[in-house]
Amino acid sequence: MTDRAHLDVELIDRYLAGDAGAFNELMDAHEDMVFGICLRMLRDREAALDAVQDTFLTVFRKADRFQAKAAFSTWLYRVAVNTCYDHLRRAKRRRTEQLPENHDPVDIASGDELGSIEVRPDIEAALETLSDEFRAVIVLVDMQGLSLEQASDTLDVPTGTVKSRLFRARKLLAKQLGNLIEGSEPLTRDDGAS
Amino acid sequence: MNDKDRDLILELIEGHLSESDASAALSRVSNDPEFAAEYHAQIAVRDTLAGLDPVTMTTAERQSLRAALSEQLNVGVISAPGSQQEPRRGVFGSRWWLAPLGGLAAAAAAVAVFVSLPSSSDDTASDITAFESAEAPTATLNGVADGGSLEGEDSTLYAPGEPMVVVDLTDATPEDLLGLAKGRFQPGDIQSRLEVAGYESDLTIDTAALQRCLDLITSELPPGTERAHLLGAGTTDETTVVYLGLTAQSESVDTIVSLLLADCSFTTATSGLDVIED
Repeated sequence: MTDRAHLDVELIDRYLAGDAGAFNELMDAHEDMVFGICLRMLRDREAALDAVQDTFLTVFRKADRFQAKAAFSTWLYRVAVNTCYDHLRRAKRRRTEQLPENHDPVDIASGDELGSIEVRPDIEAALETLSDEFRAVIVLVDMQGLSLEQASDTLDVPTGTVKSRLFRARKLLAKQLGNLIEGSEPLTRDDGAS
Repeated sequence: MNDKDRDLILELIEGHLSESDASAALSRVSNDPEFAAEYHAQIAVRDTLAGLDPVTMTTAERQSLRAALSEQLNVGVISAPGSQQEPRRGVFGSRWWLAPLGGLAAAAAAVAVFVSLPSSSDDTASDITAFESAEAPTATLNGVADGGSLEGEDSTLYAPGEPMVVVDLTDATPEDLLGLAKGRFQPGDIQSRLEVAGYESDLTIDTAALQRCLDLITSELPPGTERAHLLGAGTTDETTVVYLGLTAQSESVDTIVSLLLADCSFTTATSGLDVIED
């Protein structure tokens, strides 16, 4: 276990003993990472802030169940990703319910729905084409810097699955971004698109 | 591209290969165009995404997040880095007092709630103390029904987040509620009117969700509003509607708020009644 993980275990114990300072230290250490995951998963700042709040509420309310078998951060990020999945499902349901009969598909290249995200519009448009599962892997590994093993633990899937999703997601992105990425070649597989 | 080559490319990129294996893999990059194309595409995407600016919350967002969490988790005053300001709090503050509706049978388990506006910005410490003393949701609060003090041996304070049993007003409209209140809310009055009308239920609502909505809509409520009395709730198309009676300095309820808990949208109805009818 890393020093950070050991420290987190101590902080959780202090938090459960009623130490508000421990809560602050945990927030200092992890809130930016959780926000990064949520913003890049949800592509909407307000939704991301809601998801961050929901994530920390869930984790701190269940802190007494944390058994330190895995790093606190792994558990926290898993809750964050699952919270984002829930938000995405609810958002899709709402969109489905609200679509008028003559609704035209969104032109992702136009950037109209990308105003609140802080990624280059061309990259965001390419990320938009990924399924939620593929996007989660890309967000965790390539955008938030987790290792393949950490992403595997966070997503609760085998490392092989992470590798497969990551490889295929990058291929899709390379295809979407085309010659915007120097050195990439046109690719033909299109599985994994949302 | 088979799984073995896929793993080889990923492990090469991740730096997981031994020196000799990495050398062999790089040799394939030089001699195998298909392998090289996959490798370079993977590297290009990874580097592009890794080079994006990190995303962070603003100080205000950080502060708001921690204040909201502090309220809902009862962990005391929380400070966000880079800020010396008081934690954000809704206009209604964070004090929730629950009291049984005096005339209802205990089996109906109906409760009335009101939220007080803070009298000043330095109420924070006492609010936190109140939350820390939260207990199980079964106690009585005798003083409230007569408009008396909220502090007493029987008092129990409730933290947002506790599911709460409320009067089911599924079939009531805001106008109905105004009719029941007769343009004036006397603590202890409306519950007996509701009892006479036969409203009772085991419907529960999420007080944390209600608090969040109150924080959002407070600035849009009529000027001078001091308290929001929870009159009841109902469900319409599987959506929870919460009914609040607003009072200012007097105990007169002249506005009813219908609040959709799902998205915090709300409508108001005003009685315009000045005559007290008992």
